[in-house]
Amino acid sequence: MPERAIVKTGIKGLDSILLGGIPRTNLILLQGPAGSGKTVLGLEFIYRGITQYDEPGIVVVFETNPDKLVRDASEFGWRLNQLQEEKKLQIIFTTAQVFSQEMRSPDSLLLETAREIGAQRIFVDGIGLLNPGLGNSSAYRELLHQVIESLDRENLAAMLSLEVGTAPDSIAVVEMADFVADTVIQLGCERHGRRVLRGIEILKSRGQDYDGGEHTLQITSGVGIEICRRVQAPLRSNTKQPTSSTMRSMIGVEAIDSLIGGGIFDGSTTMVVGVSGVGKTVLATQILREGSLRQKTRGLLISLDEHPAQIIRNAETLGMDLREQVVDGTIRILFESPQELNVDSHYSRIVKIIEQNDIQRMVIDGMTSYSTAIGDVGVYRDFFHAIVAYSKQRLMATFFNYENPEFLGISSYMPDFPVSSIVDNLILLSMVEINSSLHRCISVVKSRGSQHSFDTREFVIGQGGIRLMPYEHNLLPELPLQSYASLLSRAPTRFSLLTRMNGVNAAQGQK
Amino acid sequence: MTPVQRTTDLLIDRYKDPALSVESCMKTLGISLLTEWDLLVFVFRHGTSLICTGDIAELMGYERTVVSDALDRLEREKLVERSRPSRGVFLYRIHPAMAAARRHCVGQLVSMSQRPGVRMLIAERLTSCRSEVGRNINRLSSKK
Repeated sequence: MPERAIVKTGIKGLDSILLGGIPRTNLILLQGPAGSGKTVLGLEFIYRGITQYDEPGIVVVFETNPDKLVRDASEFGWRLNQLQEEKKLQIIFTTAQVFSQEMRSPDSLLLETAREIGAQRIFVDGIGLLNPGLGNSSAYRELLHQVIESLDRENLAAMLSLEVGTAPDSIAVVEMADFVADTVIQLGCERHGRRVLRGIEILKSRGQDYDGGEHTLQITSGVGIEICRRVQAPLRSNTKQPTSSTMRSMIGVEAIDSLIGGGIFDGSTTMVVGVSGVGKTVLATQILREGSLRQKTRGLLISLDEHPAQIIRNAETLGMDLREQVVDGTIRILFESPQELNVDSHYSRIVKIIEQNDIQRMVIDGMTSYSTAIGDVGVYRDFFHAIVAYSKQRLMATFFNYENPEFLGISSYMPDFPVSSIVDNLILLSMVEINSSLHRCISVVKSRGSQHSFDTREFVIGQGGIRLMPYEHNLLPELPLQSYASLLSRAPTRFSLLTRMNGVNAAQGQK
Repeated sequence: MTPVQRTTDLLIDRYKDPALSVESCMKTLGISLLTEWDLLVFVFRHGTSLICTGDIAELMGYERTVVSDALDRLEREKLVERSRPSRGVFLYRIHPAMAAARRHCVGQLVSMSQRPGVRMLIAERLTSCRSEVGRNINRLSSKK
């Protein structure tokens, strides 16, 4: 569709789910209950039109005092009075009766005002008031058509808001308006536990495709509205998903590079599983730091548990100074409190950081906190899938840390959230008890497309991060499987050659 | 702060007594009736209103003729601008040619009237009209 034929709302995230904007001649209906953000969205549609696209606009209000509208808009930094003085905006207070009369009048004062300022957009707040009442649905429908005709004649991109109530009259009004409008945007305000979340859904939009389903709507002081695309929505891209790269990149951490067999494939995802305290965060820090220092890749560390200052401090105690990289922006740390975490906005924030900073290496530390914060397994899984799909599309190297609750020996990689099949590489960090002390070990248990090592290697954590201990192959001669007992019970015991010979001798003596 | 704002602020500050400030501002505006003041505030707060006299009267609780007379006077005083009529409806707005000092006075008084007691002072200063609202305010101020 040509650029001129599209009206861009200018509202953060909204044009993205509308795949660019709305056909200019479409009448947009904004419907939702009280407090769902209809007035703010309508007002921002006009404000962004003026300030970003040089399209003057008209705001018509029936119930809201314009004075309060101007005051409330100033909370978002929108100086409506200034725009009115510059004759780019006109807020008009009127009654529903006068408005409907004006829309039918050939010499309408309202439309004359619109022409005077060269208005290209109009927002009418509260068209439900135009309804003459129950039993008069045909009159209401006729009126809506007249309104549409008038606005269309003036080439005004129109957004009308409609409050959705529960009364039968209100429902009838909504159904009628839904039918007449070209684009219907539904705003919601729902209780989830003890919190209230706002949502937005495009119910229909004639002449275009869009991202369906309910997305998150946030109203932020000093900013305005931000729509965060629902995390479940599949990525839209015209380019072929480039995850089949044969390019490998060295991570710069010997423990990974050598065990996996020469670095990992670009665009691959890696799950690092281990008990608390085994060194997952140290490995994460090392991966990002090495990337920044040696491979010159930009990294992102995401944590719901540790504040950036704490992460930097802990790294410093191991001789890994992150401060410089954080200051120069080659490593970004995103910390978000797990309390009332909204996955849509969290995901949207991650994507924004990745795109703005051209992040090539990312670590999420750790997935267990997400499971606790999100609560809903389905949403958790969707979030994980979205991150995997997105990072693969950008050919990023992504690492997820997962805290396994089992201390000595594990019975499953991810007991509460089995997604190990989704990732390309699986690294196990374990604690083993030798004599009376604990030792740390690393094993690569899965690495798609790689001739990885199956050796379990001991490592220590010291200055600079984790370091593999020397390893000697064939200290003991390799024996066939039948030389071991209790394999299925996962406590294998190796028969010594002597024991076997003793057994043979004893048998011969008996003969 | 513009020189006009400074002058008006000084004018208001000079009279620490709000009654004197109200008196001074009303003189600057040339308003003598409470209805006129209420209508001026209505237009000031609503920016641009596309409305008929009857609707204003209904919203404000005044009689239609009282509102009509007051609007005529505000228009003559160049405090309020009224558009051409369209089926009995007009666009009302604060007169664009209103002197800066008067405009600032309106703003200051509207802001002052949000303080407790100032509305009563304004009602005392101005002559109330023959309306229910006016009578009520009169009754209240006489009690005080």
